[in-house]
Amino acid sequence: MSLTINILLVDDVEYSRDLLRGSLLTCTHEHKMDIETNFFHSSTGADIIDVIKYNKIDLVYLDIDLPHISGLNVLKEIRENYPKLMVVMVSGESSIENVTTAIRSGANGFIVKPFNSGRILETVENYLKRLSKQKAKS
Amino acid sequence: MKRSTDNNSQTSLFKNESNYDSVDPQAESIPSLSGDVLLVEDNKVNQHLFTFNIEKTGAKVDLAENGQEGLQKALTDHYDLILMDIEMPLMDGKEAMSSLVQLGINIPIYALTANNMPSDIQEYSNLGFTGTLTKPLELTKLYQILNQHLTNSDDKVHNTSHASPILVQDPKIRAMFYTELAKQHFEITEYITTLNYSGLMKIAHVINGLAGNFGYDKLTLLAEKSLQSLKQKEYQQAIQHCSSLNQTVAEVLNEFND
Repeated sequence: MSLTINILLVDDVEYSRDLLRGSLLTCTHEHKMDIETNFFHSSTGADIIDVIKYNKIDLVYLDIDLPHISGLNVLKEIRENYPKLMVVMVSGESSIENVTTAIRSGANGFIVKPFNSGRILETVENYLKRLSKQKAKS
Repeated sequence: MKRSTDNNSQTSLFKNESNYDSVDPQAESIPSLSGDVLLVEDNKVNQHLFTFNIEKTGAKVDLAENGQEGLQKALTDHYDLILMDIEMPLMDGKEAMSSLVQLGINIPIYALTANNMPSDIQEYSNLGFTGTLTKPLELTKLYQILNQHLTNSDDKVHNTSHASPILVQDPKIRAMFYTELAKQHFEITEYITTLNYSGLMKIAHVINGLAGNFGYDKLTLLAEKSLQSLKQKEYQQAIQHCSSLNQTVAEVLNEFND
């Protein structure tokens, strides 16, 4: 039975969410990963904790530049409630300030637009690695 | 703790490079590879030296001048391998490495360093570096690392002196080759008459390196034999081989003119 991953895409730009979803589907399919993906989205980051909780989210791609609240603040909120949930920050630029702040705030990954398929694949592989480590521990 | 300055490294690197170019037979064995390497290095000499030797394999090199730029590039693009200097301005290799580990970059990353004490190497390993490549640059070790982490282009290691030839079909390039060969024919004749061994060695070297790409294996073989005899200072035999080489050059030119 294949593994099902619930992925939450947090980005205010619909095109950007679609692109990321498409890239994730393409790279997991191309690399014949035995996984099924369910996608959920949030365009504002509001009520993020409820969204994660009710949809049993496994992996979050979180845009750093949201219109009403900084993605980094959303990350902090997630960390307070879900310290182990894998969160990959998504940004239009890899400015060192963004990167270092994301690290300090507990991000588990950082990808930059325009998306690079190799980097996106790395984030999924990292998720699977984390999962197998967690399973080995328990 | 032993620390080498950049100046020390530069001097040694140059010395080492010239050794490899002229003496070390190991350096002749260059793997044929494809892949993307990110070189994070602030020193211009090292940038040039590493890029030059990595690109010889067919792999591509992207350059970052310091740890910050390296971190940014590693997050933006996908690389098959990262080579990271330790002592750099703005952000050193250790800090960049810690950030990359935190952000889940799980591609192989090697520390480039003149600090080769066991305690240093252990520290780099603890930080998450896959391994260490010490300076001065050891070409054999570099190629081992590249071979391990990049894709082998043709699933075999070729030797520069026995490279599988890429046959040149372009008529313009072929015409240039025949023009050069015609010049070399006259020069070989002159050098045999004047016993100019260094001149013969130069020409034999050029023919040895080129003729195979144009499908003239016999020329390559005779040029190689000429070179061997000249290097061993067996001049009588060398003159015989060079004469045979020149005869074959004439045949090739006649064939072309026909």
